[in-house]
Amino acid sequence: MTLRADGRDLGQLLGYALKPKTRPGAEGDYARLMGRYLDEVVFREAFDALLDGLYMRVLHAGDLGLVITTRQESVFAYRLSAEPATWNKERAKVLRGLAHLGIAAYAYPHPDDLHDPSVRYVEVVPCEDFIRRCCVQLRARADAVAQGGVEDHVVDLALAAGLDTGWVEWEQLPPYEVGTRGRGTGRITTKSAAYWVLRAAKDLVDHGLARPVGKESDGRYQLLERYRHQIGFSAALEGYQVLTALARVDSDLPDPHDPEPRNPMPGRPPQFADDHPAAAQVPPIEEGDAADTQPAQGPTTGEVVA
Amino acid sequence: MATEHVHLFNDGLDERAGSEQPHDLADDLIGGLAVFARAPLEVRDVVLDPVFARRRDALLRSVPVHDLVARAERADSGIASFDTRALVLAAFDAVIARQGFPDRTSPDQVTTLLAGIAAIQCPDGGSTAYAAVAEHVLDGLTNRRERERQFTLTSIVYAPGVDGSVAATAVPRPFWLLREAEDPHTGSLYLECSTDAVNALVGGLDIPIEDQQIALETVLERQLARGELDAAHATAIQARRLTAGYLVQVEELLAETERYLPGTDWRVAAPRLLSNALDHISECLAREGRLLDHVAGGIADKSPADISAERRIKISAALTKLLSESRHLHTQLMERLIGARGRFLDAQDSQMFRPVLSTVEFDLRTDLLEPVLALHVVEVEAVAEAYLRAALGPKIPAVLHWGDFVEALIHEPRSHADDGPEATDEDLTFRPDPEPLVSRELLDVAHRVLARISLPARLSTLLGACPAEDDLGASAQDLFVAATLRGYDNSVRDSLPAENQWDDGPDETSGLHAHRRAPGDLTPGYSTDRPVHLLEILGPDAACISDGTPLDGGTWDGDDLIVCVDLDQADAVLLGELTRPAPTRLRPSLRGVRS
Repeated sequence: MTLRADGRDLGQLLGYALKPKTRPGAEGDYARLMGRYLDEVVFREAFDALLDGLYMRVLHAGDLGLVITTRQESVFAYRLSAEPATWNKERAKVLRGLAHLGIAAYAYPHPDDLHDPSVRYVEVVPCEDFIRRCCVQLRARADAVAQGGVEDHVVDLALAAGLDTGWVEWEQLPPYEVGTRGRGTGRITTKSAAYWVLRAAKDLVDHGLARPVGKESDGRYQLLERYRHQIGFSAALEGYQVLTALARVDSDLPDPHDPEPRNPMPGRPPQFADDHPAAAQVPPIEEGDAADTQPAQGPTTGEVVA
Repeated sequence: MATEHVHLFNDGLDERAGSEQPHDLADDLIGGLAVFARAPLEVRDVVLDPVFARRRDALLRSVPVHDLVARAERADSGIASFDTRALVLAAFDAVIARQGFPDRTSPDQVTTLLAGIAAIQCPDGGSTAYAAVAEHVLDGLTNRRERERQFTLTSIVYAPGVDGSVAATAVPRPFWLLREAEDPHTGSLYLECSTDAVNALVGGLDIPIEDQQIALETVLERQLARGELDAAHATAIQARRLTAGYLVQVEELLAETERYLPGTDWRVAAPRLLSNALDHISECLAREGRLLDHVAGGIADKSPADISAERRIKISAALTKLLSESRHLHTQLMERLIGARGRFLDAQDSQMFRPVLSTVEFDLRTDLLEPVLALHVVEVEAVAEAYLRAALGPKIPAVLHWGDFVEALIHEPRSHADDGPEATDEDLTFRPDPEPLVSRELLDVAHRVLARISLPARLSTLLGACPAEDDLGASAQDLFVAATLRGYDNSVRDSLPAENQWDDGPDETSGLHAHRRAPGDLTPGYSTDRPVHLLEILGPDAACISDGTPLDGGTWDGDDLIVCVDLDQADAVLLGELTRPAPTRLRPSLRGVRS
């Protein structure tokens, strides 16, 4: 390959990577370029360097294609502030962000779920209800703190924020409201919380991370595998880092700077293994259930026998 | 090898059965049972029996099935009259039949199949009820009630206590039965079945898959040898289910390895599994080849005479197809196994230096959503911005197309409503003509300037020639700047103005496209009742080029473009055939000057 041909391939691969709805299985050239990326070390390094220069990096490379993520400095970075909003712009950004976080928490309620390739669905009204229940529970926790005797760092965050907390912002909106005047007749209005969940779901569709299921009025969306990668390997961490940077981190939350994090062994335990932490209370098993127990933990990464 | 053990076991039985002293074996068995029967039933012996633990977990995996059947059988469910258990088994069979093949079973196919079976079960049920029961079964097996999560049931684990007693602890047992997955190549959905489902629910057994596989294939070989084609067909179907389960088991190991290597045992268990599996697959492939030859070689001749020839041919064909498909599955499994060590090494490379932070597991609700809900709205926005940047991936920035931008500012874009079916004369209603955004007066001023200045000329010269007395002069300058930049936008549309998306097409009444106007032609080449097109100012063929000379003075910034009549003139300027016009120093801004 000449430098010119390589450069063209690199540019073409970048073009494909920037189109999340394109899959290598559907585009012969994309499949060929993915093959080069996976098999040719020099090509891969050149592409990674190209991305690095654009403040981007590869999250996943495989049958799904290239999943890339951006840093703040990147010209390709998504900016919430750049989104047009027809209503109160500051409020719109907060509600939209909360709706996105709510969708992720709704679809992946447990850390293990981010590693489970089962297809997940989001329905607008139940998802809004889920976020609202979180708000109600936070309010109940705040009441418990107010009555004394309970320490709750999340409530402390709210106390520091005063009246302008995210949950107050969300609770102030009715869950579901349909317009009765003008062009918005029969549609969910922007002044109801369900609209922001719907809007967030449509954002995901626009970015090739979800697709609608059934009729549009059903408000049901299938989250794509790419979404799971983006959330599990990048977005949760990025959001969390900003959260910790606010310097009011809950002691119960995982500390990103702790060399021994709260979950030293991420992911679900091996299926049907009796090595769950709860089982640690019993003495070592020598017979009986020991027969169906898988090894508690394999070699650590550094000790792996190749 | 395990196959040899099975043969030895079978041969041993045959030998003992055919010996002259068959009573020896029976005596041994009766004696053994008597010893067992005399032994007291101890709690410890029962609960600490390894087989007890396995059977307990096998039973646990059937709980979701019993649960969905119980819900269906409630009087108010509307689907109580269907045999839901049969539908569950049919769903598993449909999925396993295509597991590991390119055309895997889709959820729609299963729903259609189940609805068809339901229609046979209850002919008067109605299509709505058939669809409902099919959805109910699929939703129950994929755990849709809990948003497609794994089933997590609690099991009591027993272990010997320190003082000889038995200790018990409740532990969660996560598992899945059916799940929807996304084909990475096409994005389409398909269903896959877990090893747990294959092993405990479909096979009805809970012994290692490779043992079942070997046993079944031995049985199959013997049935073929005896010419029992019906039995051989049934056994082959069961053997293929197990192969599919094996495929899932290996794939799960590799997926777990790539996700979190220390969570798997690559020191002992995984290499042993892969090694055994490779040996096993090699044997399977060889055995299946032999069986195929056997079937094709006229095994039907050895069948008992009561089976009709047509039926024998039919079963032989089905058996051949099944064995061919099993062979495909084994080949696929072989490919995965061969690549397994490479995937393991890749996982090791990628995870060895992975920062600790990226291995932290997030509970998206308690670790992220709830703290963010409790933040001040300004901080919520900061977190959301970072989260969305990573969640939504790259966004291609909009590149400003100057021509489109200026045109869009001057002209109202045509709405999509205009693309509807053509209205008849009777439907037409005349609306008031739009007000031109650039006034006729201003356009006349610009054309008077062009009548005085011959082209090619510098933009600065055109700006300097604009009237200096009032805001009209400043507006004319703005118009020249916009038109010059429009001319500099060297898109194809410049030479084909009729193709402009904002243009309503050739207008014979205006004569704009009917003939070319020279710049400065004072004959109105436009209609006063329609908005002014920028190309009408400098002419449709106008070309503007830059030689890098900056604008000097005034409030404008950028290159002092050379405005030419057309591309030929621009080429002549660039080639030096025409003298480059001299720049003019601009006066201060005319904006705000009152006459």
